[in-house]
Amino acid sequence: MHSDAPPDDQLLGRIATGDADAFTALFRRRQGNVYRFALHMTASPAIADDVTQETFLAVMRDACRFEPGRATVTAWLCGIARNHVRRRLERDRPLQSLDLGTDNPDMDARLATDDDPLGDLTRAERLEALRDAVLTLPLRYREAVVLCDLQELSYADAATAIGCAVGTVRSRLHRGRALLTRKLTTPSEKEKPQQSASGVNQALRIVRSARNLA
Amino acid sequence: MSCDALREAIVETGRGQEVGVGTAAAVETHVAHCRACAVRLERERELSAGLRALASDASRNLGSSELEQSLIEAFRERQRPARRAAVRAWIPMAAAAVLLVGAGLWLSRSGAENRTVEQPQLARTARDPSPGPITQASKPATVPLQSRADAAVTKTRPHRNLRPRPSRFVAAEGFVMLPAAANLPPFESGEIVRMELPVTSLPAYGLEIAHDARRPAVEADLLVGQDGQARAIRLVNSARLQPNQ
Repeated sequence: MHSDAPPDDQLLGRIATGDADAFTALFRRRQGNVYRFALHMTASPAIADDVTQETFLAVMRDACRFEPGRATVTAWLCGIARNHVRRRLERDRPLQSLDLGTDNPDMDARLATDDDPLGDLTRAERLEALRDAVLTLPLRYREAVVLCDLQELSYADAATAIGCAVGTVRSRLHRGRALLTRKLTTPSEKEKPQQSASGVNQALRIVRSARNLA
Repeated sequence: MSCDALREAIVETGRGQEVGVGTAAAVETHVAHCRACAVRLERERELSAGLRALASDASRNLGSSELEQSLIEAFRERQRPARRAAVRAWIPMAAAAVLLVGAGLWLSRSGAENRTVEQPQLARTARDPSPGPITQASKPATVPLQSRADAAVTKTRPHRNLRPRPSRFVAAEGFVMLPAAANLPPFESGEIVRMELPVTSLPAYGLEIAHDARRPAVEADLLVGQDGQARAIRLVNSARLQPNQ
């Protein structure tokens, strides 16, 4: 962010008075946070788009309701997005797909353009395994992992977004991470034989590889 | 410290969070001797690295490029009705203001009419300015005024430049046409304005009054036409006029 750029809460104040430029500025600055949160939560770019739209429509309506001292704008936006994500997941539960590969051709194409195609494929697979593991977390743990570890919100901001106590966020995050570790280190019955055979070591290789890429 | 006591600290350390110098040292000491916690800490670190890679990979995702334009359009569209609503909100207020002003005017006029009721002879005189003891030198002042005044709405209200002096009772006197009014457009409607005039100025209006040192001024009614020009004058009450001939 440019140092001269007005802070988020100032932009929200201007949006409340009908300033279209402020709305544009906030959208450009925070759209990614909202979109990625929704994408991590649902694995669906279409839903993430819808949630982003709904969130910023809510900003148009409710900018004046933001309380600057209570939370950051990002946390506030994530809280709105969270509600829409939950509503959407509830509504689309029978149709929900966890197959990001079929739902996100842009990402696949982008991953395939790197220098090392074989390495990229492995990397993509490993990231997909981790992404799938996140997506299979129960919602309350997924929210905590996405907000705290993927969106890098503080416990306080995540608590605001979720609407619970900081201690609850911390315990949900720790529980979610424990479940993730278990999912990644314990082969499920659905996994292919060669994957099952590799066991814990392969799962660890996945995260090690991801770590090296980070 | 026990493994359970350090469980949370190990997770936070694995996430790369600050846990405080003392806790960090305790974790370091503990994992140096506890194989299970060392593995756990390593897994937490690897998981954090994987999640960071996932976040980094997703950081290029910005969603639909059309969304920005459509939302901005929606925002502008949303503001338009708001402005229209603001304008619409002013309409009843403006209407109320107009009504208030209208009511005020009506009240002031009805007050004036009430005064006219208190001064029946004055009003009647304006409509029917029958010649009284006052006469104009050249021609009767009441004759040309009468026909016009019959069709006119005669109102009594204070004039901007004159100081009205209300009187409880007004004896009717005949209006004398002012010499200067001879060249003015025909009288259509007008007002009677009461004012105080110095006796010495009366000849200029074509009037003369018996000099009375005790009364340097007299009350007079001016009949002011639709164009704001005075057409005729009459003295009020006991002023004894004589034509200025």
